[in-house]
Amino acid sequence: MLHCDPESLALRSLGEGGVSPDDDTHLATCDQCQAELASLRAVVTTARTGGPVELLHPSPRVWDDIRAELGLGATTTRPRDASAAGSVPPAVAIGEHRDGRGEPDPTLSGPGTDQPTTDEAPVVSLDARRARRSRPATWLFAAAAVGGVAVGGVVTAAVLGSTSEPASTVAATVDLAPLPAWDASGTADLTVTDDGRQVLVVTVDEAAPPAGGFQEVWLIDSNVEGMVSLGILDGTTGEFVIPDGVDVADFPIVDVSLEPFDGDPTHSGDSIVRGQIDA
Amino acid sequence: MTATIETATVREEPRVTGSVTGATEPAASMTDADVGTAFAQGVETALEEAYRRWASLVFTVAMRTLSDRTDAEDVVQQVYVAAWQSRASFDPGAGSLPGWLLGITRHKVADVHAARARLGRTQQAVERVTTDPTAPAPAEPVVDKVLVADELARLGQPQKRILELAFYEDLTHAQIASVLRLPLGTVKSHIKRSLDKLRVRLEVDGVAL
Repeated sequence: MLHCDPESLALRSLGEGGVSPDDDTHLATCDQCQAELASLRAVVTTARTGGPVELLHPSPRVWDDIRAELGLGATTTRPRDASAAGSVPPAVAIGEHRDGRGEPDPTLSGPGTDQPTTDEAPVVSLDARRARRSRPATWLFAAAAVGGVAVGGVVTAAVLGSTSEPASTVAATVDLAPLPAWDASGTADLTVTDDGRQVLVVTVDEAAPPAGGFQEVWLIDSNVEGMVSLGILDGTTGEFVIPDGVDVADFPIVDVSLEPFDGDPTHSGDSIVRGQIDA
Repeated sequence: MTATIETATVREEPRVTGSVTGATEPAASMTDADVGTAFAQGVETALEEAYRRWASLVFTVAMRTLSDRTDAEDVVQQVYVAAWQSRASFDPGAGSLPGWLLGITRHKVADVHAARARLGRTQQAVERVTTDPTAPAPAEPVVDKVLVADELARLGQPQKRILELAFYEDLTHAQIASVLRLPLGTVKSHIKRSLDKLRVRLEVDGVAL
């Protein structure tokens, strides 16, 4: 007996009807296929009930406290920060600001579209985007709630002499970790030129290029209240001169955001990756 | 130069004897089961890796049931401390480490509820819950929901996006293919495989809370 096509069963478990009329007749009499469908439906029900869940992250001091309590000795390495791979970052459940119900915003990460101006997805709600933009205070609160130190990133090596430009020195390297809803990572090298200027070299590695906007690089203060725009990141790598008078100790958080083409010069609240320069 | 430059020692991780090295790469490439085995053997970097992989699971479950960041962070600390101290009682052959951690989480969360009741703080907690728009419905299967979120995060793109559109936007696979500009067959195949992964994850790590 020919069982139902597994992919059709998967679609059926999501509620798609009419995917395979032949399966209908078979399904009515096959216990095995019915059980498979019920099992998949249970997964779908679990996922859908109550909407999506935002993964949250404890502040970095929790790991320090665990080590201390277990007497494992001090370490400056925090496991969550040590590698951004496979885990969503510490940084601040920026997603929390989107709205309380946590409905995903299709504009947040649309892989597969390589033309940034194609916002033709029927589910894209411009209202939702405006609403997001209009609540900076909420975003700031969400960010501040976990504290500036909750922002991930390990300041690593000091001098990477052999790989740096002769005229500049890499002073610090920050790992940039993805915010929820993003599949990306990156690094920011803080370099100092021979004439004393600070240049931030930002590299972002994304699973898919962000659609529907452009990327902007920011330095943000520890309270996530003040921020300085360093400019637009075109492609995956860019160099940004940090203006004289801007102290990275005051603005230690490196942030790359997705900015919609709406003419609003303020931070969209939609951060892709973040890291912190430990000052 | 205003940023304090940490020296190269920052990258150094605790060197512990055992199959797990201190380097990030080997630890990151370990399977969940490998981490569980090393954890049971007392390899210190396995604790670190277990924290990196599953602290957000424990914390999110605690946050959704306690609605208090301080309490939830305390639970995370208690869970990992208790797990490490009683690691000898963890049997990698009998279950997954994250499932075991979530089981401990259930007890620690219950302890907090009991303590709140003793302190007469229940009413405050209720108020916090009712004013928190992200608070779950009481009957929500919290752990499984969080596991779904965690597994979705692990799927990578475009799989994660495909499932989000299917789950939460109620798009058909044809609509998803159109939105994401992917071939129909690719979307169907991703949906099938991703649902399988979610199902396995729930079977392996899921517990009733």
